[in-house]
Amino acid sequence: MSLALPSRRDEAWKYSDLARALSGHDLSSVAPARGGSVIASMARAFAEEERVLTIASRDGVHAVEHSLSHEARGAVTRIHVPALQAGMVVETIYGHLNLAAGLSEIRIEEGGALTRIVIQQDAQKAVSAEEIAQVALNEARVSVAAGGTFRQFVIAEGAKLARIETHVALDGEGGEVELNGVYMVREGRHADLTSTVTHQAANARTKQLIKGVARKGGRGVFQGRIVVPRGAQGTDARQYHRAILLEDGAEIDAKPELEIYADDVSCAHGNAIGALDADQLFYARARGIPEAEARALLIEAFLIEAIPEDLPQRDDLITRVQRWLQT
Amino acid sequence: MAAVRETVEAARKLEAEKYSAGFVTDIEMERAPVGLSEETVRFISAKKQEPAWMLEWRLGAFQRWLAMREPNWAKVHHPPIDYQGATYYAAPKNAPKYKSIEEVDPEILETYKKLGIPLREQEVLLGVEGAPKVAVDAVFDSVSVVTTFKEELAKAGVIFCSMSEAVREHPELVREYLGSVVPVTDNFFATLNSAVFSDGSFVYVPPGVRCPMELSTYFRMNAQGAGQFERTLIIADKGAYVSYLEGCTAPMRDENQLHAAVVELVALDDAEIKYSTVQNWWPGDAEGKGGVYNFVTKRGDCRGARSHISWTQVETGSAITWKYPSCILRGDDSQGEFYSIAVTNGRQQADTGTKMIHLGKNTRSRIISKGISAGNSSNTYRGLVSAHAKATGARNFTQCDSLLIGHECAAHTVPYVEARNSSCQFEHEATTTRLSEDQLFYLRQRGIPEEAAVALLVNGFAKEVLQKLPMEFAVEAQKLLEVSLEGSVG
Repeated sequence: MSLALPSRRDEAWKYSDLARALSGHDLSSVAPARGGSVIASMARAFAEEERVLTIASRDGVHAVEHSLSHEARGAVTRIHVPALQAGMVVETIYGHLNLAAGLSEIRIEEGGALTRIVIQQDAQKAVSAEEIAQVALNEARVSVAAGGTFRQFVIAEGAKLARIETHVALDGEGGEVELNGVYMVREGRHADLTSTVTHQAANARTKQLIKGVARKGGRGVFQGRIVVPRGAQGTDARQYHRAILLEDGAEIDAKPELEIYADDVSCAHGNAIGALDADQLFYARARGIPEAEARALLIEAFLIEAIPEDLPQRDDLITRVQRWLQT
Repeated sequence: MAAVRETVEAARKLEAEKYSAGFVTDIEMERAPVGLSEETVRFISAKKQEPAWMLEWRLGAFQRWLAMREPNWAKVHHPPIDYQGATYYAAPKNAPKYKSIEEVDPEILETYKKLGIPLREQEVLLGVEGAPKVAVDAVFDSVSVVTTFKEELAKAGVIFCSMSEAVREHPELVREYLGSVVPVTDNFFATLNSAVFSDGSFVYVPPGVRCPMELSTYFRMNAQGAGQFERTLIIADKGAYVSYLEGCTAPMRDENQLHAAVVELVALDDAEIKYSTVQNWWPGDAEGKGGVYNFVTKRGDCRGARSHISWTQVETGSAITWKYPSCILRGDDSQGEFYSIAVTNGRQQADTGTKMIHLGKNTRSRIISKGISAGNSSNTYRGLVSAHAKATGARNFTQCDSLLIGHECAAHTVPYVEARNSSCQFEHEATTTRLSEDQLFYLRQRGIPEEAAVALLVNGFAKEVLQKLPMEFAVEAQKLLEVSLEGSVG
């Protein structure tokens, strides 16, 4: 049995037509992984070996940074955060492959903490739509035990189709999740940030802030789902997505979802899509800042709000945003 | 918390007699044979003495329907519907059109009286000078029983009649507009409706005319096993204005009754249509037995420049609600609005919301949705806001708030936003909270009984929408909210 590729008709892939993006690819060797998603099936089929990473804090206090690069077609990584340990993982997805699928299975034990940074790079040389051939897929499945923390920041520049999926299960009481991200897409690029957070236990918290910009011919997608099953009382969840369409011909699709079966909860989500604020632009211009510069400044300020202040890589990430704005 | 525990217990006690509209009128019915086939469609068309083109239209829809599959994306669960086990046409026997209200079968009038429908509003309003008048097109199962105030409307040039009458008397209008907003092949239920629709209301307001009164229809399902498939078409010609009220209530039944209506609104240049609904169909008993399946397609087309369509709904009934009153903002500077209160209790399921499709320039839309779930119910807001690449200056503001009462209920918010224009501005905000204990405590402390306190808080929560209802409906709707939540709180 070969893998059935989801298309626009599948609700979860409504805005990212994988079947279309992968038409012409021979995927007959990919067997559907039992109970796994399309991305997981591909990652397992393409990966030569499974990487295993156990996080241990230096001095029992400082998080150790690990780098994981996705240079092969497939990558499967298991990350284990033992109780009370803290660590950091930076995953880089390069844009030089025709098709790359990554799967990270993360287990955070009681009181453990993991910060995950995902950098999805644009293909450097591609200038025309025909040259952007790559499909970059990544999926993380995360379980967080009581008192555990999972923080993630994704920066995506898009590809012919880039989709970063994150699925978090808050299995223990008092868990915390932060899922932030930025996407920036230019002509011919498509970036999709999809996530699910399931509050299996009570008194857990979720914070999510995703910011995005799209230029002419670029398409940004945000799909975020927060599920609060019966019994997950005391849940606090906030989910925000804000995006700017920089030029005509850009497209942004959003589907923020709240699915709530418990009553003693406080959940909110917000979604705003629009143009750059004309008043802000006027203010900057009135102070003698040339229009192009003022626009870049405003877009930069808009995007970097989603990068957590205390992230050690914050400056590098800001540089990445600035570089994108300059080209 | 004790109050919540009591809430759940009380919800279980929710009994059939609470539903004041739950009674059956015993009158002779003329009905189509059970089942759905080309013969059924021909039977309905023949009963309605329809012209050949209408029959062709129905048969075409029926052929399409055979090839379609029931949608399954909504967050609702129900046993498979046996489309061959239902009756598709039921009319009160001896169904000639009544010339005056006195000719109407007294038992029918009695039914409406129990529902408190102002069919005799003429007498009531007599002597009250300047009082607002309401014209009623009452649908008793499939046949429009009587249409009042016709003459006064005719003076203004407004056509307000049953759909079957419109097919016979105004075929040119019906042919031009029927199916032009909700195409025959739009979706499974709309296609089914196109094949077997029995009756409904037809309104045409000529250019520049402000309809002199609120138009109103009460739909009522009565015959056992008879689904109701009404079809409503409202056209506001250039510069016209009309406000339409739809009220629904059905008697108690054990078997699930299918209701698949289609409502089409067309607003030409500078026209405005206000469509208000209060839906209070039998929601089934506390165990979820019985109740109406309400699968409705409602859509308004702001076809002309500066046109304006506004939907206001108060949904308290039905076992299952599947309904998305939408606006296609085609004309430049057109406006769409959607105000909704959806209350679910017991084992009710509601998946409802709207679609605002921005096609024209400088189009604006506003969505305010208030969902209240209690008991074991499930309440989903599902909405789409989209801007076409040419819809420069499109604006939308959406606010969806959900209120949870009790541990066993569910509230979901699923907005879809699709922006293809760089000058559009779309904002969506949603919150989900439970009834505030502090506020409840505050009111209780001042000696207000718990049930009254909850009613007060719920009314406050839904105020923004209640204010949008025409006066005639606002009072009724507020009362309905209280009745719907009775037993679920405190």
